[in-house]
Amino acid sequence: MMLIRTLLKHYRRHPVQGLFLLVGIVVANVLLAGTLVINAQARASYGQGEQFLSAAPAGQLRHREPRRSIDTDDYVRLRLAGFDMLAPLQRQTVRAANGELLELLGIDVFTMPRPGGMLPDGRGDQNRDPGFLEFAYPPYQLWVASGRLNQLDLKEGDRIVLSSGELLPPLAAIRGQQLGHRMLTDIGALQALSGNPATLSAILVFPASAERLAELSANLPEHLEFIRSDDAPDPQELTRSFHLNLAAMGLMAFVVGVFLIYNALAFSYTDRRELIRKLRLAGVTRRELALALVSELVLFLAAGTVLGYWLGAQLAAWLLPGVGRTLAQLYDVYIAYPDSLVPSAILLPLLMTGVAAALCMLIPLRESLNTPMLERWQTRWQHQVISQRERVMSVAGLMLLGTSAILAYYTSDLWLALTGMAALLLGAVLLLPTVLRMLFNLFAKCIPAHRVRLSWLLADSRWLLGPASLALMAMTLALVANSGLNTMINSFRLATDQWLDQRLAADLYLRGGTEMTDIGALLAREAPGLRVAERYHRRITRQGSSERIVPVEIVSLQDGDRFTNSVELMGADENARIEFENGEGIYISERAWRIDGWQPGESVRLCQTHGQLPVLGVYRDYGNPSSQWMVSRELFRSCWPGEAAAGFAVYGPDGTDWNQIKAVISNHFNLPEGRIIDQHALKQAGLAVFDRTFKVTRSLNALTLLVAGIGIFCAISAIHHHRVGQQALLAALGITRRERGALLLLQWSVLGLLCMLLVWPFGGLLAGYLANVVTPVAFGWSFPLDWNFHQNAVLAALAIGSMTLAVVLPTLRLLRISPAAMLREQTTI
Amino acid sequence: MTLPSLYSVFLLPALLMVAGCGVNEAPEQTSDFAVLAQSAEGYTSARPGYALEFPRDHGPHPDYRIEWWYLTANLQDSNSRHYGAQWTLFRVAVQPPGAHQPGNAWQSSQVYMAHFAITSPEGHVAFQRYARGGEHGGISRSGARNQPFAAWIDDWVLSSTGSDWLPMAVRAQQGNYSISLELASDKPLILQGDAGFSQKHPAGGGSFYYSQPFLTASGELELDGQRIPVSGLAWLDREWSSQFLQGEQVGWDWFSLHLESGEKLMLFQLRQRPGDFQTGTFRHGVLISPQGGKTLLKPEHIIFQVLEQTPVAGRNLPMRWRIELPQIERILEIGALHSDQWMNVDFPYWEGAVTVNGSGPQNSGRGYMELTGYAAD
Repeated sequence: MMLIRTLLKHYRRHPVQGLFLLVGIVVANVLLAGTLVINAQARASYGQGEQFLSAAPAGQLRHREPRRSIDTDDYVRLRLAGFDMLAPLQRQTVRAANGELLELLGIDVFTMPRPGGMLPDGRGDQNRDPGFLEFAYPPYQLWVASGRLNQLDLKEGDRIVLSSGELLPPLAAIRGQQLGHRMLTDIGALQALSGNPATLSAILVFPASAERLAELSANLPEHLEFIRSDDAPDPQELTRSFHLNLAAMGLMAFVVGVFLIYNALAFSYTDRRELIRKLRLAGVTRRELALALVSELVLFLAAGTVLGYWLGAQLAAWLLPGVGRTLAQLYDVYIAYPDSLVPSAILLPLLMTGVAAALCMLIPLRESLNTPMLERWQTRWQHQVISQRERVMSVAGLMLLGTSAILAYYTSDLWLALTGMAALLLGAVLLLPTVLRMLFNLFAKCIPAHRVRLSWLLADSRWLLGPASLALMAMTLALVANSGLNTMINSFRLATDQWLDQRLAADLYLRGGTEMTDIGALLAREAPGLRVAERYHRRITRQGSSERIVPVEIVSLQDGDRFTNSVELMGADENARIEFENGEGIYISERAWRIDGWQPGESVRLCQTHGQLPVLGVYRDYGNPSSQWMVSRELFRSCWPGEAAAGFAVYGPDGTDWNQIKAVISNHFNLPEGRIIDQHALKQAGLAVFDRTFKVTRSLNALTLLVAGIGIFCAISAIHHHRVGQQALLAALGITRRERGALLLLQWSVLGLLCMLLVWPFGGLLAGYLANVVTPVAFGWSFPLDWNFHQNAVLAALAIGSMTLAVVLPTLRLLRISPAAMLREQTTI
Repeated sequence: MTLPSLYSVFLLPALLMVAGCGVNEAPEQTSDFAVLAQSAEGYTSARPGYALEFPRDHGPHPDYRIEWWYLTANLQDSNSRHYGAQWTLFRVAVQPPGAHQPGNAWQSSQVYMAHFAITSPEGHVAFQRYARGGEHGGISRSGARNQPFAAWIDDWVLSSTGSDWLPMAVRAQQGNYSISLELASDKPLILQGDAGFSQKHPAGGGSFYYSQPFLTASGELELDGQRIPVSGLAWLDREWSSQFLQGEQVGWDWFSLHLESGEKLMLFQLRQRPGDFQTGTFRHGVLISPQGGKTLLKPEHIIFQVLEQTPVAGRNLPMRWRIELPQIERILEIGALHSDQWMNVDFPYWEGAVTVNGSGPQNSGRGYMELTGYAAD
């Protein structure tokens, strides 16, 4: 105990070092814990299944035609036939005046299931929550999870104004209803919004006996189908990639944190070599010393992990609504925003940090304990030791890069892809000291002998690579990740933008079809120059390559160059288009190819009427979480002659007044807003969804940069502790304070810039890895990279700026100290 | 927050206010009383002088706050085992007429609630459902109409089998339990109270109330999947009002009895305070001759005496009664078929089959008893 106290006294004298060790542990934990908690929360939500007023339906009745709504009298008829496990549901996405898309659920509280089939014993629930009183009658209520309320920057009682000018019911923050991203209101209130159809999106089927559910299936009208919750796509499976990516970001921050821990430990042990030597001379054994130092680390670990975990949980609570929005938009999967976060295992971060810290302390500990008792410690940064260490790191780095390249080529597994990405990042970072040293050596040759100060600066910088390399590596790691992710997101956005431009071949899109069958006649009369294309859509299931039965969307493509050219094929032979138009084959989406495993050239079974049809080509289908097959309109019609059009596309010559055409069509068919949308609005909506989807990624990305900033600040501060003597020497040589300051800043800026030399190529490589390996494996989408150098220049400025800031504060302190004091301080170490 | 609280807060007080069912004096329920004190402002009031007219008044009266179609049946099977069946549809207007113009069918101000229960020698089951009024594509999950008569929630239906009001049929099913009975009578219906206006308070409040106590019932019950042919006697009550109970009235004891003499006897008392059977109660009784002639009983000549209280669902409920009716020289002893006929619904009450014992056919028979407003211990 006495021993630990003696050792800990060091931190009293150098509190900053203790603080930096703690910061390292916290940093390693925050994002790791944050992403772990988010993932655990989402999994808990998936495990619970979709819930409505605390009741989980056994399934839903849906219209057989995708996206078609159900007439309410279908529902009433089924209830009148005695199927009391049914409840109506209307889903509606509305647009708020500020452009935010809001997903609303309309339910009938009178029909929601009661606990158990039979009535429960006792007096039932005695909760008297006045919220219900207002739910079903004017002015109604809009129930919202408090997380969502914060996300929208609204408070209880507020009323959201829609783009139509109408007001939604007053908001009520509701606890414990697993609401998540969606908001809940009375179905009557929802249908009262102008333009909302008096139809149902689905009929919820609540649990009943197997016989009763079979009876229900047998009594369904032709156009309805019963989709059991068990048969619905498993959200956990669907979102696996997303959660893995999230975990990977957490792990990356963890690695940055581990660098910081190593850095802090190395300095702390090095500084205490003299103390350790004295203790050894006083008779303390190595074993006792090692035990004391390990106990000290355990104390730091416990404090740092708890603090890091707590911060991580706060971060998770803050990010969860964003994650919920992403999942909703990306996968149509909804997670709950809990009132309190599920307790997720703190053990894993603790264990990981513990193991990492143990590894980190191993080398500095051994070096400190093995110091010969009668020697002073100045040999620490000796040239041989450093260059040997750098050689090992370079070899390891090259090996990691090789591994990454091999994995990039061969993997189709997300875990391996992410491992490859980690190898790429670490490999790049391990090469950093060697690359920097090589650059300094190169500079040294170019500098004329009479530029003494510059030569000194170079020599000093080379020396600096020893103690500072870890901090620089941590910063470089974060910068490479940041640059890579930024390039990836921007490239993906640009690709989506161009893809939307190409794919939206028509000018107006109309959703829903049966009542619009005479749209051709209407347009021939009103606007003879325009043409109409029917769009068909159907859901089927087929066995993918991995024996799994997967849902497949079948969509039709109108004939004619305008439409066939709107689909860009990824490597298909020149006859593909002709064969496609002749109905001799199909196109498949990139996801169908990459994830579900159908190969170009392979034959697939489309429908009963046609035998096996070859896959003629692969097209990109960004944002679609399920596989899609595209067939010509004629082929679709011959497969499913009874299928009504799911919508129409209207197109015509340039210069057409589309607003007027829109008005004519919606007046004629009495179409509500949302059923008819023009190309421009559709594209804007698509890109808005994209931006919201990547909001969480961008937030996490910014956080890693922040982590890097903290890291570099800690490291530079720690290094400057050790630079006192060197500054004293310079001062003694007559170099002024101002000159010394300039030298220091110049030195670190050069180091920062040189790091950027590594960040640029490896950031690009990482982006390429994400775009061509990780995203295709995770989502089935690939996209060309857009090399945006402007963005890297901004990053460089940011890096140098944050580095300068990190240098300035410790430097100011250093410069304030008088040379005499510096020399005194030097001798006391 | 779970769903039941919706019903206990939103719907129940509205029903309680009029029906007095399940009023509970437990302190935590004071919020119910606040609602109970609501006035019937905006709704049409039930007042003496209104001439009931049929088939018009078999249908719903949406301008009144509350209304019900209430059927009870005393049945027996071929082995002379006794059963009871209850089917009730309540209609509640949650907003006064004209208070809110519904923009769509869901926004109807009419809410329906139904109960159905079966009592067998082995036990008692009770079920409930809710629905809003409002038509979707010409059909409605719940409602009532006068010609041809029907009252329903989903597949729980009481309806005329032909164009006349009688005969009618009642059907309801929930899981493995169902009732399916044909109901017939050639006797006239009975206008209760003063030509159909039934006073419920000394100050004059009340409801419109008529009955068909002469129904014969035959059909089958399904109990846990087992179908049992039954036959017996049934009693249909129809009542509607906007303010039925006054604030200080907390519950009632109600009897509808088929006497072996062919007479029918209806008695009730509205209790002012819990457990007080003697003072402040409002009593009413009528004896109906086999031909439909009415003898109104003077309140002071209706003497209720509780012979035995039994713990049921955490309450002490009077399960055996002695009723003296000196005006018509009757002394009846009434006992529950069994005490477990608790209606464990959102606002629970006791409703069940009883036997009437006394000397001679004029003092014995079968019937139904309803006990509401007893506080849990």
